[in-house]
Amino acid sequence: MYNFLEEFEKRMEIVGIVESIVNRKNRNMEIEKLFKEHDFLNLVFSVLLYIMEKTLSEDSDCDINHISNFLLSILPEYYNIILDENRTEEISDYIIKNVLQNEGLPYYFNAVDYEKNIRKIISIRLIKDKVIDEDNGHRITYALTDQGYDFLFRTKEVDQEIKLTIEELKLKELIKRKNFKKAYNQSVEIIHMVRQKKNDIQNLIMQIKENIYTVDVEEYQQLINSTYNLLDEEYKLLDEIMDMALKSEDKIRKDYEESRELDDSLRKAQKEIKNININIKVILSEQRDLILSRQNLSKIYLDTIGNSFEYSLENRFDIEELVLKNMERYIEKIEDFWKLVNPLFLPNIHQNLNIRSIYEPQGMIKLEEEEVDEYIEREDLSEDHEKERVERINETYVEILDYTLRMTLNNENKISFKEIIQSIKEDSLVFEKFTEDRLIFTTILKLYDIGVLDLSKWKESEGRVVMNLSDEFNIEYCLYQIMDNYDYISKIKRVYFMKEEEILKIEMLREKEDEDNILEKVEISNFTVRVERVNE
Amino acid sequence: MNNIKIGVQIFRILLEKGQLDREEHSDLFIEYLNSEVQQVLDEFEEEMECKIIKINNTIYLLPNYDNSLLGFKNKDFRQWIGSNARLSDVYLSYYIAMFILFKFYGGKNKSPKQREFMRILTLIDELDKRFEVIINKGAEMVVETEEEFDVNLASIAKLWKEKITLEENKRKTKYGTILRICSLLEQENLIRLLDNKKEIRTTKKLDDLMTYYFLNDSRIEEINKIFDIKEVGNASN
Repeated sequence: MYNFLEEFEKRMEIVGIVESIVNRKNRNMEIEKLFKEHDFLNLVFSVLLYIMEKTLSEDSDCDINHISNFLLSILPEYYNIILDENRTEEISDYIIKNVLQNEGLPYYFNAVDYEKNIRKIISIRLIKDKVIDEDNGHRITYALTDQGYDFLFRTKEVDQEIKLTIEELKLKELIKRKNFKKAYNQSVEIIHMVRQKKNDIQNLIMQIKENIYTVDVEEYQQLINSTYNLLDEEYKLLDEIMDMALKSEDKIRKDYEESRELDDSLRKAQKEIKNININIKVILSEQRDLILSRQNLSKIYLDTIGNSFEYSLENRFDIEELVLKNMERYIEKIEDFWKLVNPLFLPNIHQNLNIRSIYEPQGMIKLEEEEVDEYIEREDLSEDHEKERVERINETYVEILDYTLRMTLNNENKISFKEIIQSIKEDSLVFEKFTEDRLIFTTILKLYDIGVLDLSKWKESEGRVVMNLSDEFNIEYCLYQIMDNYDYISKIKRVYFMKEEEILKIEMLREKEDEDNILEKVEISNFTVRVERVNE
Repeated sequence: MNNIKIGVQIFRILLEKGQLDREEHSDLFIEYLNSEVQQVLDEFEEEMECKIIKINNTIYLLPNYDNSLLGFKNKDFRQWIGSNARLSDVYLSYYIAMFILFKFYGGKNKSPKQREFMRILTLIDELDKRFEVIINKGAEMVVETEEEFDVNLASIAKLWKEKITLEENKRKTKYGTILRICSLLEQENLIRLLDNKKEIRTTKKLDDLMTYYFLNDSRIEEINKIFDIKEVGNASN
């Protein structure tokens, strides 16, 4: 083999990275044609640099809004493109998800390994993301991968490890020459580099926790060793730099004491040395964190690798062959397909052992089970019927709650469920409507579940929730409906629902056309409803 | 505390939440490592027809595949899809659920997970391609199955093909159909729908279960039983 082809595959990694961006498939030409030739590629790499800058220099997160704002700030001036926020967000999304993340799929590049005469598959992944849960939902943040950092450094700076030592040496030399402005910039650079190393460790920890199998042992060892080396070298040099900065400060002080005046250039130098000292303190503090992170990384890696070892001997089946194709082949087994998903689903104890199911509509016991035909309805028709049914049920829920609250207010703020039932019995239409599908019983049980309805707090909560209504009782929807239509609700501060010892037995006669009448019996606890008025 | 009480406490949490995390219940997690506590839980496993497995720093309770007491029955699945769902809708939902698992965990490497996220529109494209193949090659399969069963694969593929891709707030579009099944998977803590419900990401729970349990060769027999396949085929990687 030719010597110059040694480690050729490592050189090709850079080519692979460029190829992954330049020779992409599935392009969105609607977006890309907005840009002049090569401009879009310039923009993609600018976004990569922005992510690096944002995560390193500010030691902060970078999300899609940050990237959109960055694009908004550069597109008009440098690309002569003026777009509104929505369109810019769309472009940011396209650059991140489609171009840089390849729609979530890893990108592979085949490089020739001349030493082994094989094709080495290089996985390309320039950015990684993290989902951060927040009070109002979630946020996805982006950072460069090691490969991303490595690539970007190589486009301008020399290899990062060498670079770090050189930066320190340069800083030392610059302070010696009293070039404080440049020295200050160098100290900022060192902070970036230490933070990057810390980020690397944090990211590897996260990767280990998420899935140990995605972690390369070499990657782990290299990171651990490079951190050791980095710290050893840094400590000595930083001590010297601090020492020199102090001496320079002393020198300035002595000059001042002798001449009794501090000209502008000395004042500026003094300020810059002060900043250098602050930065050095930051570097030392970041280094301490780095040591702790490294120890943590080793522990987590060893724990996780130990845990996962026992699973590593197990072979896996091909989900497409064993599951999907069999689903296609044995379609008649559909009634058993629930068994495919069953082991993944949460224990369904509430559904199966739920007291509410007693109050759900029951079928009549017949001597023989009738065959249920799988009839086909027109889709639109069945959808419409379902929608109408849900709307009708929700309308009844609103009426039940409205009825209950009004009755309570009119009955000196306290009433029993028994009295409510007696009252609705006086109007057969209302009784039939409220007891259909046992709606009034499920509603009172749900309200008892809630216990206390704090309307004052609810009214304070901001904004309306757009709800997809189902046939379940939805307290928020009912309250909004009542609030929109009636003023009395503003007089109510809280509503309490309490259970009593007494058991109520209620009978309902259902008359069916062309069928026997049905007598339904319900046994339910009595409840007390109490209203606390505003200013009570 | 005696081991039975600890075992019951662990089981109760597992029953309620489906999992017990070391971070949240570090004491109970450590107690679980005690073999006597595990013996108590073994009894629960046997009587309640479930599995209790520890994966890294989490203990999971998984109903046995045919456990309809703790598990999620066909009836529940149909209810979720809609009270008047047709058999073809039910099939499509199961199929899409398994197809999502396949797209995420169909990898042949040491880790089966092959992607970080998937856009719903990409999933629609992939399903379009899959059903297109079924429609094109399925003529003989259709005739064969049609005679035996009310629903056939080609008609389901056509049902999918005829759906409109996207229209706001419509449940019967391709997008709406996927969203419905995804919201069920989200409720079961298996996936997350992000970016205004445009993107699917798997949870740690699903990654754990798929990597260390669901796809294990030892489950081949029970999956074959679901399809009533007598001979055990070698479908492993």
